Amino acid sequence: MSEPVLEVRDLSVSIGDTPIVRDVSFAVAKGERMGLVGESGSGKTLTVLAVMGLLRAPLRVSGGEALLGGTDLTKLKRRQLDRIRGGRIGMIYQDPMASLNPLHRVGDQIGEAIRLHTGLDKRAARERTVELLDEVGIKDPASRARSYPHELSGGMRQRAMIAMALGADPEVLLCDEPTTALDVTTQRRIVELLLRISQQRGLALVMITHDLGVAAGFCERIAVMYAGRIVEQAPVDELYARPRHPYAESLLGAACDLTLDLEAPIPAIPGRPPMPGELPQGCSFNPRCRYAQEKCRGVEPPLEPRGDGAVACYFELGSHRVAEHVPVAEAADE
Amino acid sequence: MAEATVAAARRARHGLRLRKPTALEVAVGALLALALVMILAPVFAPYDPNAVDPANAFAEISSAHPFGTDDLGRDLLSRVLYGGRLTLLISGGAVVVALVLGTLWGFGAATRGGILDEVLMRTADVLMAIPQLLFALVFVAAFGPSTVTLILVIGVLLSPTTARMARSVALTEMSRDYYSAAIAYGAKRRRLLFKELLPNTTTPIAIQAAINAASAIILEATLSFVGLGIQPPDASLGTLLQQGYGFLYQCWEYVVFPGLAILLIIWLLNVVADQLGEDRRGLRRRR
Amino acid sequence: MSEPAPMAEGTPIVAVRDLVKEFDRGRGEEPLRAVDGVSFTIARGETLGLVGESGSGKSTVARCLLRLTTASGGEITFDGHDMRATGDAELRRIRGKMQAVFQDPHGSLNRSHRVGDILQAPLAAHGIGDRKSRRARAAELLEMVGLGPAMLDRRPVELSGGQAQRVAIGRALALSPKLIVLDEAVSALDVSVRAQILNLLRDLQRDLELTYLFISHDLAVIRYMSHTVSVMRGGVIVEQGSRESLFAAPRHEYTRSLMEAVPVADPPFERERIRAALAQAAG
Repeated sequence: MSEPVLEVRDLSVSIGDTPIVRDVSFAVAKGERMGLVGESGSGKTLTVLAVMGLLRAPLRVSGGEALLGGTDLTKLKRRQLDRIRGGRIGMIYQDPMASLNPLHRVGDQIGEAIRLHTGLDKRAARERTVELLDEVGIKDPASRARSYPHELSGGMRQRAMIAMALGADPEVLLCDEPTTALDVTTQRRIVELLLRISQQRGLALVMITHDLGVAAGFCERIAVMYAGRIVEQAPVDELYARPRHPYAESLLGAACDLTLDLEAPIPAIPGRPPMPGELPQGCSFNPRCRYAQEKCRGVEPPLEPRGDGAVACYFELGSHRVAEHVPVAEAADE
Repeated sequence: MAEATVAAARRARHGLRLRKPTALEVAVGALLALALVMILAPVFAPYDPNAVDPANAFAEISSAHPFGTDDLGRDLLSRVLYGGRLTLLISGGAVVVALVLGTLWGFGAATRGGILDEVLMRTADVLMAIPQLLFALVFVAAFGPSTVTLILVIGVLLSPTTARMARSVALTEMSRDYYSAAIAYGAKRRRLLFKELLPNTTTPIAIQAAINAASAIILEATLSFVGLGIQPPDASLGTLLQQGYGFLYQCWEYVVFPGLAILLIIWLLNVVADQLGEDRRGLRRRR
Repeated sequence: MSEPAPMAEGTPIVAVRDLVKEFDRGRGEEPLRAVDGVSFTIARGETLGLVGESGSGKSTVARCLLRLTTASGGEITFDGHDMRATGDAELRRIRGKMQAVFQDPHGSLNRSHRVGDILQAPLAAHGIGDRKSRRARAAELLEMVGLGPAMLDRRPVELSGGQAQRVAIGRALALSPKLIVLDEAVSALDVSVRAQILNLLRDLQRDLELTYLFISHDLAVIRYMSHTVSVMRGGVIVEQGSRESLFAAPRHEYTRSLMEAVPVADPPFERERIRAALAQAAG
C-alpha cells in the first residue's frame, strides 16, 4: 500500500499488569477505509482511544506505538497531543452528545473547533462552519448553525458532529460505532456521507463497528478483533467470502440479515468472549471453536501474513490443515 | 462496554488483598473516633465541666488544663468535650428527624405524583422561604429551649432540602426499566417503594445526611449563639463560642478550641459527603 | 369484577382497536399523538412483529398494552379482558399473564438485588409459595433460559449483557405468562449473543406456547421471529400482513424503503447500493 497515514504497531493497553489489548497492528493509507470489527470486550474501542490518547487511569498504553505521519502519538506530552488531536486526527462517536455541548449553539462549537486548529479568524471560521454543515448534508446550513443540539434530530446531530471533526481538515478520522444508535435509514445516509467525504477529501477512515452489514459496503479492509487481539485481517471481499479464522466465520454466520434461514436456529457461537485476566490457555477462541484441536490449547497462534491479509489460527479454514469437524465438548450457552 | 472489561480486569488483579485505606474510610474513622470521645465525655473529661474555680480563671494552657480555663475557672477541655457531646446529640437527632421526614415526604410526592406532588413540594418551598432564625424563635418561644425542641426545630428546618433530593432521586429511579418491570409483574406500592426504590437511593440519602449533619451543627451553634439554644450552665460548642466571644482578648482559647472542634467535625462530614459523591460520579461516568 | 367472556377457539389473545395515545405538550400546543389509531390482533402462540423507526410509536403501543401508561382512546382486549376497564386489583392479577422484556439488559434488573431475588420477586409480589418453593422456581427459571444455578447469588453488575437479558427473560416467565412483550429486547446485544437469545426465544415459544409481541427497528430480526408483521410510522400502521406476504411483496413504499435500507453482509452488493445512492444524490 502507499505510505500509511496512520500506522499502529504492536499496541497494547493494560490495567496494571492485566493486558486488555494485545499487540494490535494495522495501517491506513490516505483515502483508505478500514474497519475494526469485534464484539463487546474485544478491545476495539480501547485500541482507538489509546491512539487518540484518551485513556484514563488505570488504563494505560503498555507497549507499541501509534504513528501519525511518523510521530508516535502514545509518547507525546499533553500539549503536543492537544495540537494534533482534533487537528490532524479526529474522532466521532456513537453518541453525538459526546462531542456536542448542549449549552452552546452548534455553529459556535464547530467554529471554536475550527479556530483552535487553524489560523482562521471568527468570521472566516463562521463561513467555514456553514460550508462544512452543507458538506455533511444539513439543509439550510446557515440557520441550522444557530441551533442548539437538542433542536436537531438524531441524524442531524450525527452530521453536526462529523462537521466538527472535519473542521480542521484531518488526515485520519476514527469512527467509534457512529451508526449503531441510528435508525436503519439514517444509518445508511450517514454511511453514504462518510464514504463521500472520504473519497472527496482523501480522508483515511477507521470505522469501529460490530455490524457486519454496515462494514461490508463501507470498508475496504477489515481487521477482526477477539479478546484484545486482531485474529484476522483481510480485504473486505476476501473476508466475507472466505473467512479464514473460525471466529470470523462464526460471526458472519450469526449475523441476521434478510436472507436468514427461517426454519433453522441461527448458527450462534456457544459461550461468550473471555474477560481480560481470564484468557484460556492457547488460542483465546479455542473453548468456543468447533475446529479446536490439542494444539490450540497450547501456545497462542501468532498473527501471520496470508495473501493480502493475516490470520492467527493454526488451522485456518480453506487451508489443507483444517481437521475434520471434531466434536468439541458442548460449551453451554454462557 | 469497555468499562465492564475494565472492571473485570480490576477484579482479576485485586482479589482480596489488604490495601491502603481510602479517603472515605479515613474520614469516617476519624469522625467516629471523635464522636466516641465526645459522647463518652464523662469518661474522658478530666474535670466536671461545671465545676467553678474562680481563683483559677483564665489560666494558661498547662498540663493540668490543656485548653486552659474560662472566666469562672472551669476547665475548657472538659467543657469542649461535653459541649461536643451536646452538639452531636442535637445535630444527630436533627439529622435523623430530617432524614425520616424528608425521605417519606420526597418519596411520597414522587410516587403519588399529580396534585399531592404539587402540594407537598410547594409546602417544602414555603418552608424553605421562611427565615430559619425566625422559625426557630417562634418555636422556642412556644415550647421552651430544651434539647428536644432544638432537635425537632432543626430537623424540621432541614427536611425540605432532603425531601427535594429524595424526590429527585426517586423520579430518576422510577424512569428506569426495572421499575417498569416491577409494575408489570404486579408489585404493590409498598414493595415498589421499599424493595425496588429504597436500596438504590441509599447513597444520595447518605450524602444528604452528611450535609445535613454539618448544617445542623452550624444551625445549632447559631441558635445557641443568639441565646435560643442550650441554656447555661450547659453548653454546646455553639454556646461556648458565644460566651468565648465576649472574652476574646483575655482568653483566645475560649473561642479558638470550640471553634476548631466545630471546624473539624464539619470538615470531616464534608469529606465524607464528597467521597460518597465521588463513588457515585465514578459509577455514572462509566456509563 | 366480571368474568372474562369465554374464549372461542381461534380468538386472538390480543386485540387492539383504534388505539390512541396523546401526550400533553403544555399550554397553547397541540398534544402529541404518539399513537394515532392503531389496530391489530395477535393469535395465540404466534409472534406479531411490530417494526418501525424511533418515534414511530411502537414502544408507546407496548406501554399502553402493558398498562404502564394509560391509553387516551381505543380498545385493548387481552385474553378476554377489557384492559382499559379493569380496576387495580384485577389488573394486578392479570399482569402475571402479560410480561415484558426491555431493551437495556442491565437497566431492567434492579442493581441492588441478586439474580435469585429478581427471579423470585414476581412470585413474592403475589404471595405465591414460600421461600423454599420460590427459590426452587428461581433455579428452574435459570435453567429454562440456559443459565446455571450459580447465577442465583450474582448481582446484575457481574453479568454480561446476554446473561442479564436471559435473567430478564427468566423473570418474565416466572408467573407463567401467556403473552410476552419484547421491546427491542435484542437491540443492545452483540451479534453472537443476539443469535443465542433469538434462538432461546423461539425455543421457549415452541415449548411453552407463548405469544410474543416483538418490537424492533431491525427488519431482519423481525422477519426471523414473526408470523405476522405490522409496520408503524408516525403513530399509525402503514402496512400489515403475514410475514411471507410482507417480505415477498411489500405494498407500502415505506416498507420497501425500510427493506432496502437493511444492510446485507455482501460487500459487492452493498458497495453497488451505496454507489447508486450517491450517484442519485449527486445527479
